[in-house]
Amino acid sequence: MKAIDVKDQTSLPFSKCVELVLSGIKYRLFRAAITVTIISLAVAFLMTMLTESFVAGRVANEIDQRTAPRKTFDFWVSRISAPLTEQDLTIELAGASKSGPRWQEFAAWGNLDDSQLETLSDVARRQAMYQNYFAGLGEGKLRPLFGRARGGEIFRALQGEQAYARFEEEFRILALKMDTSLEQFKILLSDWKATASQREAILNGNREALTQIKDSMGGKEAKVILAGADEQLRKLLEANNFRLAAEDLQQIRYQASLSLDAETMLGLLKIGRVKNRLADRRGAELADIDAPMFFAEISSSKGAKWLRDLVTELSKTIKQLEVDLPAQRAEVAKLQARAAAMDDRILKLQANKTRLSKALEQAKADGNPGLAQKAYDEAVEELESAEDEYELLKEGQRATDDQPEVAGLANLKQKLKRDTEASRSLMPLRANIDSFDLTPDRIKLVASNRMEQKRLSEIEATVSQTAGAEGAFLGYSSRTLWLIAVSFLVCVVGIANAMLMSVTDRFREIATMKCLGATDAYIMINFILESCLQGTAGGILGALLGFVLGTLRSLSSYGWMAMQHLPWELTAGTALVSMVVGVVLSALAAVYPAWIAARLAPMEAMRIE
Amino acid sequence: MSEQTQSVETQAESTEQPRAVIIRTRDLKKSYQMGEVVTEALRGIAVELYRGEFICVMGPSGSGKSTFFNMVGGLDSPTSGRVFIDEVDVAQLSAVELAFLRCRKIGYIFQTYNLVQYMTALENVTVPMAFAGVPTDEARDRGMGLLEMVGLDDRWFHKPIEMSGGQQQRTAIARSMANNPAVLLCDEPTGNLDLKTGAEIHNILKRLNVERNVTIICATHDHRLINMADRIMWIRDGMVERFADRSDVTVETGSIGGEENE
Repeated sequence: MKAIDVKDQTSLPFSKCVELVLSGIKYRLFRAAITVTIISLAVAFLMTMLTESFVAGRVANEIDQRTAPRKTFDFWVSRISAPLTEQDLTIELAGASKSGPRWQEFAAWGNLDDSQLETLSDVARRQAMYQNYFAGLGEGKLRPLFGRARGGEIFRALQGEQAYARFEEEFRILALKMDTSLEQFKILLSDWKATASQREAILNGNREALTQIKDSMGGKEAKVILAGADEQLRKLLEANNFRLAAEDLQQIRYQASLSLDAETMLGLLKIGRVKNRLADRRGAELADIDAPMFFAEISSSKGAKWLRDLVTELSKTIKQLEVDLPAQRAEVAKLQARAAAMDDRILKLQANKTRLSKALEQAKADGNPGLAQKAYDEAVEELESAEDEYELLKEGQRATDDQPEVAGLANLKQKLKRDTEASRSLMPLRANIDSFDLTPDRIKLVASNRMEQKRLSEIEATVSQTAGAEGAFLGYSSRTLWLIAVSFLVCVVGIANAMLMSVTDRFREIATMKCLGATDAYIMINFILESCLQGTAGGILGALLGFVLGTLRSLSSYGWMAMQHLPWELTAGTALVSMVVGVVLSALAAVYPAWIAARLAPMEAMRIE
Repeated sequence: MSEQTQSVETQAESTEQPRAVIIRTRDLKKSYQMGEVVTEALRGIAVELYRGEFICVMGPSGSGKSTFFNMVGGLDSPTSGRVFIDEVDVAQLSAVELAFLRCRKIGYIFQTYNLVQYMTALENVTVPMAFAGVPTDEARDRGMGLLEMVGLDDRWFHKPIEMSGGQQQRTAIARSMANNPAVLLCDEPTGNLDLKTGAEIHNILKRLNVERNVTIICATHDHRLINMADRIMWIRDGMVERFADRSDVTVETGSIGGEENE
């Protein structure tokens, strides 16, 4: 009798495994769809975040580039308008790099060498760190620590020994903790005091230089100075140790002219008539008219032409008024003189009439009224005609078929009043209107630029929110990363649950398979493979969905600028990463259910429910 | 009845025929720990079953019949004692070797058929062949042969849900024969079937036993099947109560209704 030999069971080829798993998935399509949905949602979440982050990074980059000229200009305006403040100096010093333009300026103004400036810069950096820390504490703690001093003032406020002792005590009572020890803070305070005179020297130097420049430029406004920025101005600035790069000169001049023109145009909006017309044109309430609406209107060719025409019209009106008003005034004066004369005459006629009526009564009594009656009738007639004339003079007369219109005094007065008012409202802005020499093209350009800047600054605010804190992964805060991690965890638990149900449902099938010769390893691989296949499907769907969602969200945040910055070349990589994440998550989730399945005793197949 | 009862040992000694033993158990014991209580399912079973035998196992539920089946089928390991299948000690086998054994040496037939629901009849039949590493083409040909044997070759593309209980069980028999096993373990194969369909299954089993010399071990309550058996084993309270040749047992199979034929 031959004993059979029992060998290790052959393992199933991978393709056969896939085939079996696929037919299993096809049979339980609905459950598989749920698992795929869970995975695709988690992957979509990740993919959305990644897409948004990439877009935000690129948009931020572009905005930096596009707003740079404007920022350079604003920076120079503020530098030329007002002397450097202590606060600004601290910020500049903390960020100053050696041999940069600011470094050279400070060295020249304060008459300092490199090592002194390095010390100043170091102090400023430490100052910024502590200032940041204290700013995050909140008012309730700042009051006991520093009294009224805030921001940069605290370093001065704590110089007194008593003040510092109080600060230290409060600091201990509040049980606060800093990154550094209090001793180091105290060292900074003394360093700050030691370097105070040097900072003062820089500030003084800056102030003197500015005075020099203002004197040379005849006290002109900063923007005006910059609008005429030329090599001469640059040399003047250089002589006073302001370092203005030659390549910035043209850009600053351009920005200054844009800014000045925008101001000129905004000046027009003060005129009531412009406001009224704009409200009509936009179909808006008068109260709602504001600068953005104004610029929006005139940033189109039609709007620009409208404004140009309106200004021309206003200018004509002013000229007309200049001619009309004196004539009107003379006319009114003339008519008033005439009215006064008429008044006198009517009074005399009335007295005459009274006298004649008495005479008439006398004559009637005498029995001979003939002559007296005639004289009286004549007097009455004359008074009536004088009164008619007076009426006509005052009220005027409408034009009829055989008679032209006669302007009455009342009408004339009213018109004079109206014109005087118009003149009063237009005259103060006359300089604005007369000197308004911008072509429609220029109006359009300036307004568009202004709107573009506004839009960019809005996007910049959004981007800086999305871009988040420095040092965080892909620009995401730890909170967002935590959210992603939790979503993955939920996803894993969800898939594990679905797989576990799948295993429980298939106890008999699994046990039967084991009776038919399936090894534990095969069962395990079978379930993990099933999960992985679902993970792949979910990953692909999720990557697509996430990309679309991320794009839409970016679109709503940054407008069309987002479309120009879709990270196409990164998308393939990102999608791949997302998909791998999906597969790994589902494989992980399947381990425990697969283990349960593999451990199942084959005799379960015999059991009858 | 007691004079008809023979212990397995005495039978083995007395009949010195050179018959090949396919399954041999030695003092087979199995107990289950259920909380504090220890249930003794098998209390020392020692039997020898010969190649080509048709054996019916009888016993009330809870008698340890199922436990005995699991032991003999290599599905569970005994608490003590030994099971030899074709002179191989099952206890000595690793999990992977057990899978090999279950795949090629034993065929299982279940009361509930246990076909894989999402596979066609042919796919179901070829599953054990896939596990045995048979190439796909050969597996298909052999599978069709097996389906033809049970009379289902024209329904090879049907899914279990599209088949009657009898057809499903016939497919299951075809599957159990996939790798030409030496032993067929049938657990109430006709328990869920009507009499006529049950009779068809009985015939197929008998044919396999006769034509292919397959050892058939069959748990059943069906007297017609007992009638076909070579030997009948009674299990009660975890012990072999009686083990007798068919000729020594009176089995009455009557006909019930007009539909019964044989």
